[in-house]
Amino acid sequence: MSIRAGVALAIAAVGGVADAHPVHEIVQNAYLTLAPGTVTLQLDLTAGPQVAGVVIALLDTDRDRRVSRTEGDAFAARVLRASAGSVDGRALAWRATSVAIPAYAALRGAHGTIRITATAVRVDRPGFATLTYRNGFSPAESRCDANIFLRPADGWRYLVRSQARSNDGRRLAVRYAAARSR
Amino acid sequence: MHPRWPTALLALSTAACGGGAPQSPPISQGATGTPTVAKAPDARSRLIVDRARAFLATLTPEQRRAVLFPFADGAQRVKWSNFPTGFVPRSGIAWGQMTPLQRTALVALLRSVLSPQGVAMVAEQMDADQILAAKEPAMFGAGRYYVSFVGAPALDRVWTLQFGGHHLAINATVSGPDVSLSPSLTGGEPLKYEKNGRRIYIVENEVNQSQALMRTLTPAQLRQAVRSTDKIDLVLGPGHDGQVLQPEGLPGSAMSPAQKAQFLRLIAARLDILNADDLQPQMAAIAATIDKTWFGWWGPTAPLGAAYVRVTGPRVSIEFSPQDMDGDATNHAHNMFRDSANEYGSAWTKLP
Repeated sequence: MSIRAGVALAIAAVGGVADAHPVHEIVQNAYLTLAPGTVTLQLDLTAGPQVAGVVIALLDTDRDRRVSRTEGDAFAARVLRASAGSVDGRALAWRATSVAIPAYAALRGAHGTIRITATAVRVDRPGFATLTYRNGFSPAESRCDANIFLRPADGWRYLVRSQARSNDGRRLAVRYAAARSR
Repeated sequence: MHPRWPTALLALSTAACGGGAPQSPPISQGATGTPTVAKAPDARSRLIVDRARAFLATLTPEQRRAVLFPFADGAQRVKWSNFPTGFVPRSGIAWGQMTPLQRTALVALLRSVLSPQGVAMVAEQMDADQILAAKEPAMFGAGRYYVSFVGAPALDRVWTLQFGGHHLAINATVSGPDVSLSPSLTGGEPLKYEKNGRRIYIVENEVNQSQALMRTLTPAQLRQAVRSTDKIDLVLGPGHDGQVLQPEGLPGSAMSPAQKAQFLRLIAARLDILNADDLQPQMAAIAATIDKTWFGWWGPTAPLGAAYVRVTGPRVSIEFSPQDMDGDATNHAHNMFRDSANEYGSAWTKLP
């Protein structure tokens, strides 16, 4: 899977929009959105206090208690390399579009969420297709989930026919129909 | 001011709300640009507007400026969270900053918007946060719940009452005769405690109703409904407006009439914090689409309240999300209600 992180990548010192309260694990919530010509992956990572150090070590590689843009880029690339997607068996190539990193104290205190957003190009065709996603990012015990969202536009409409997920929440397969209206 | 909630207010507010609302001065701030509504108000929305204006009339000019936001203020509209206000600051006026008169007027307003169960839930949530305040007074406490308005309360305008703090975000949008609570966040920690010798379990009815539905399901239906034996976290919490969960699990169309009735009781257990006048048409809309409304379960079937539960349908999205923090997931939950067809009143007006 090719990744082109660093393009239009921005690190935001945000307070975080976290709604999770993990303790000994990383909550990893994936939001996949089907839109004309693309799939967007938004991955929200919230590390509990017992594992926050693991995530911080991956982020703050020079140990200066700050996360630089370069470190954020590298972290996003690492996460996206572990995020596999496909449409009808054709692999999706994620391109990171933004990375939001909470303040260091929020990361340490487990009340900040890292948000990585990436897009991949795909081709719309009328009829059925299957989107698959696998989250392989596992630096510590994690609670994973993935959900599909639809953003119809430009005459394209989508309908989810079925969803299959693994018990651990790391894998999701979505059977959907695409149709074009004039 | 020392924040004192709330159970005492439940008693006093009954008397305080019994008579007509006091006359209040006209309100202009916040009304600019607010869309007008076509439908005439009903008795309930007149009461709500009267009480909102009565509350505003108790405020100083400075407090009124702090509490009123223009309807076009999209940033304020979405300024809610499950986090304590120390982590995610809220705008408006805090309960702890109000005089007794102001508190009485605010509870009267809440009593007009919410049901008795809804007001009790708010009080229990604030009581629960007061328990947390015993350990961390700088972070938690009943005094840290805020009220604000997006758009000035008016009979012929769309406006939203916001009330919330840690684990609570009531967003009540009023349009003519209609009121919607989408989106609203409930839950709490601790969910179970004792007060004055009485056992409190804030979400007891809802977890009982979900368990009751599970007990009616056949093995084949259970295989459809249970998506995982591991619970997941809240998906559409703060920051996820406009996103719509795709149906998953067991559809209402695959349920027997008795199961559908129990499914509706489960949904009502969350929505019945809204006053009965406005709840009835919303439950009717949900009942009309119950075949297209789905029930999903992630997590163990015991103990009660330890599983993530999801309801998704054309007119309702409910998440019940237990949290592990502090050791007992059944004692801490982040819960969402959304109506994707009418978030912040989007079905009634074009949101700026």
